[in-house]
Amino acid sequence: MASLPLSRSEVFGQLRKELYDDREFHQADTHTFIILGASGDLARKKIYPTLWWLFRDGLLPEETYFVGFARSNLTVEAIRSACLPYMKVADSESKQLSAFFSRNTYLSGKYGDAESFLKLGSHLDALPSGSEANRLFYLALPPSVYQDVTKNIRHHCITRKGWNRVIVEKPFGRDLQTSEELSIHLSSLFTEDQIYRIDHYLGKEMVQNLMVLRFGNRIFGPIWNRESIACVVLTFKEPFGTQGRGGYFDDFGIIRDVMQNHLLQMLSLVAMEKPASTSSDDVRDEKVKVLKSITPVSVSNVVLGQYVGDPEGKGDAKLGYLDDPTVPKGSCTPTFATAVLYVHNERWDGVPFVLRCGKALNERKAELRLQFTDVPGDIFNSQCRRNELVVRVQPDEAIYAKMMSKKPGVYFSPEETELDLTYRSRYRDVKLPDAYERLILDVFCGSQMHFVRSDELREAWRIFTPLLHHIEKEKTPPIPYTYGSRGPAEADQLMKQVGFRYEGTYKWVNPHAV
Amino acid sequence: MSLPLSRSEVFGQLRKDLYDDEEFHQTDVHIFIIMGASGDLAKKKIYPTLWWLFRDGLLPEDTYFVGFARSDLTVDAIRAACLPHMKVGESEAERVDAFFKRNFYVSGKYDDDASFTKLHEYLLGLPSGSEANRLFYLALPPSVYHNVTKNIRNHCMATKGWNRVIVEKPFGHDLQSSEDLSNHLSSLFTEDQIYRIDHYLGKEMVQNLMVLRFGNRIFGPIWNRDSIASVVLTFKEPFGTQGRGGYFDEFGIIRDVMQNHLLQMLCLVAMEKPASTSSDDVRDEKVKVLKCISPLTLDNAVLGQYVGNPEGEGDAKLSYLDDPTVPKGSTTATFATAVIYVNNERWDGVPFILRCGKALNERKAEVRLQFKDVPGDIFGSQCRRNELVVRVQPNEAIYAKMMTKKPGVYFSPEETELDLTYGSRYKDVKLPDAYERLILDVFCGSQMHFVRSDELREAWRIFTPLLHQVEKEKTPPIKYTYGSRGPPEADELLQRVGFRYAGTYKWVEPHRL
Repeated sequence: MASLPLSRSEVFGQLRKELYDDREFHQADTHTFIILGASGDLARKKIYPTLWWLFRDGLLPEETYFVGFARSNLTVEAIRSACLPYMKVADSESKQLSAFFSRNTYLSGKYGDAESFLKLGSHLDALPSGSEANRLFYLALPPSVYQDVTKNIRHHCITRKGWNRVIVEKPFGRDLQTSEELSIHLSSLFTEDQIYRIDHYLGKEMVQNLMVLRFGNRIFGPIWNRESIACVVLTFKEPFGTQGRGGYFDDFGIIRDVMQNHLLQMLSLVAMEKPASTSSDDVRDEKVKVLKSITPVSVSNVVLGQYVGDPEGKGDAKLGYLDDPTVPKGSCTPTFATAVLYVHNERWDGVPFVLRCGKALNERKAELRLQFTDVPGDIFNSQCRRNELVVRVQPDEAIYAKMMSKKPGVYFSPEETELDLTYRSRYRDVKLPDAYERLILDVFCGSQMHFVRSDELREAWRIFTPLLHHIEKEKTPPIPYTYGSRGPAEADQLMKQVGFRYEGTYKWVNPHAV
Repeated sequence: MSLPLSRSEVFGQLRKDLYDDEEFHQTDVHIFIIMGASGDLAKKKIYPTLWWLFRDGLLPEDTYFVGFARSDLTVDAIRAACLPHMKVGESEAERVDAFFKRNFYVSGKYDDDASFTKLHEYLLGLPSGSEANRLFYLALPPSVYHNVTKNIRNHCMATKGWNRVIVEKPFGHDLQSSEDLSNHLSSLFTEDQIYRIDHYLGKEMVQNLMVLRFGNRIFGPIWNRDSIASVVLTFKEPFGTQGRGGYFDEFGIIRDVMQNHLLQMLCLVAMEKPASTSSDDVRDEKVKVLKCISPLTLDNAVLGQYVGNPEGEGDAKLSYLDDPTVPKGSTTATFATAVIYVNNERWDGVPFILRCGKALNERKAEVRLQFKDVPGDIFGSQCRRNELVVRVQPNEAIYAKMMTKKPGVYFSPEETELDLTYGSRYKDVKLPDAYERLILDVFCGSQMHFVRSDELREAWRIFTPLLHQVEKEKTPPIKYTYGSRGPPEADELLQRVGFRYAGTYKWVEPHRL
């Protein structure tokens, strides 16, 4: 019933009901979406295209205007042609596309210049109903100009009649100290409910699904704890290296790039207690509480790696991280990390949460895996493997429970199988929106659930900063691993040592193959 | 693991699975004796099953088949009678010959000592016949059970090999008559020689219940009164008695389905984990469940009898009472819903709903566990109850009905399922027929899937008072239309005891990728 394709107006109607009901949101209000850094990569590849998709699908409030701001002397036309390759415009949509760009304007100015922002402010006021419009400021900017820009927005560009919301992108500092400085700066200018920190993993279908899965299903309640769960594994793997962009990456490393944000956010959602309600702050209160129960990661619970070229590989696979010309010579920056965290609370005491991430590995995969404990009092002569509940975030969204079933036929022995929900086969006609679409829509709606609050960020840095400082001070050499491999063998050993069991007997069988 | 195996691989694996650590020697000679070889059951079920097992190389190599009945028959006549039911492939002609070459037939009278002495001598005369193990399949009407079992015991027992006796329902028609039969059998045979068939115990998904429950950590903590709101066991047939109501009328749906098939499934769902997977450890646990059930009372039951649907086609126009073989004015139930409680620590207060009937809207046999509501709901009552469904037939499947985030830009919960449909997951695996499994079990000496005397006694204890009451008072069953869900009173009973039917969920066939 629910998976039948709906007409656009139905989708819109249903969405409006869900998103805007009982809210102080008036669809008829005018909104202005300001992209700071409109000439940059992020704006061109991600933000303008996302705004276009939302506009095209009728998901934005009707009176919405888009204003680009950057240093370069540009025109809307120039932005249009720069973004077009990323916008996936169908032939039939040219009229709508023109309508979209007719709502776009562009203004150039300097990020450190109060004058420029006064000008921007007047420009915003001058738009139709501009002075009453709600304003969304998207900061698609390098961290170096954050301070200036936010200050200038606060002083010269906010509306007094509508609301103001500021969307910020990582990096949010590079350790506890720098992140705190940034947070303090932001909170001196904006209230917490005006700040939307993006972690785009929080916009992913399966990550957003975790709340419903956990708290909407009676069957998971009694087993979601240390009594039944042996180990939780959160994985993010990429099959490619830095490919000439290692210079930027090298400043951060895989822990800051993936583990401290994406993987830790997923951990929070897996581990948190049920919130009092689904309101943003109730949810984030619970996430913070999980983080508070985690002690800083110790070096002994971590394996760091850096990929080296595979002489037998093809193309990029032949190149090690250090072969990337933009990477500083002899860099010790990890491109792979496995870390074991413990949540010291009543639900999770003793259960290892294994966070794994890396570049240049054997596959592309982001998933969450709960491995359950052995069945106590086995009556099947050790033929049973552990149950696992897997939520695959990408690629091919799926939920499946690895479990034992009687080997079909005249046999009576147990064999591994799975209860499966593969999105592509179950929801073929449902379009899963991109993470940015969901998140930008959330900002319009004023829903902060899928954004990172200051205290979450602080706790996340608290957990990883000592480790980061330690390895950077000691220049701990990461373990080399081959491009296209599973990563260093030491990582698998660490997992085994803390109790994850990998049998190698299970193989996924696509039940929906023709 | 689900790749198709060659026959020798299947055989090798099966042998390992079935015979390891057993006192079973593949090279021993076995004789399978079919008592009542000329009857319907033998013709339609037993001979074909033996053929399939033989064809697939699953029987011990030296096995002979001996038919026994009153008629003056030949093996050729039996072959001709059975052939339409044997599904013989064109390439299998030689193999069928080999099968029937191992078949013999002896005629005799069921109550005649001399006939059985003759049978015994015949068995001894087969190759290695004096050392052979003997399996006696009683495909007979209950009226001759007494004599035949006595004669087998007195005249036909192997002295060197073992003897096993396979018996078919009816096992009596109430506690008293069933006890009489059990006492009679146990005066002749030991319990480990008696194999009472309930063919539901031979079904793939029923056999799977043990592994599902006790091989999976995820089900352990939720399989109890804290998490389960109700358990529904269903058996529905879409057709009526179709001229065979005379036989059915003597028993009714409770004896035909509920007291045996459904109650057996209930035991497997409700029992504690046995000490091991040995037959008696498992049956000990099943009996223990039954002992915790008090006799069913009429206020926890709804009985129905179907009437023709004037708008239906063919048989659907006919009522049960229109069947010419049914006694006029019969009050025999063709539909029953009963609510049973297992008064032990795990299940106290959880209704077990047994539903069965003929001439209903669909063919279906399934086990459904409905879980409780999530306590402390945070989704504005948008969540439906989780259910774990084991579909026994048709289309074997296990699925968990659960809530997921409505895919897309939404955040609200919607119903979906985690699915294991055998037809798509195990496309190349042949699921053997219940009789194949069960007969193989008898060869292997595995009694797990057979009904022990004490199980049977407890089953009758639960249903006999109700059966006697409705038969004595001639309680008129509620009429329901051919092809319907049964009497609405049954659904009301379900609702009253706490089963919740939201009507919002619809199975969606997953798309082929």
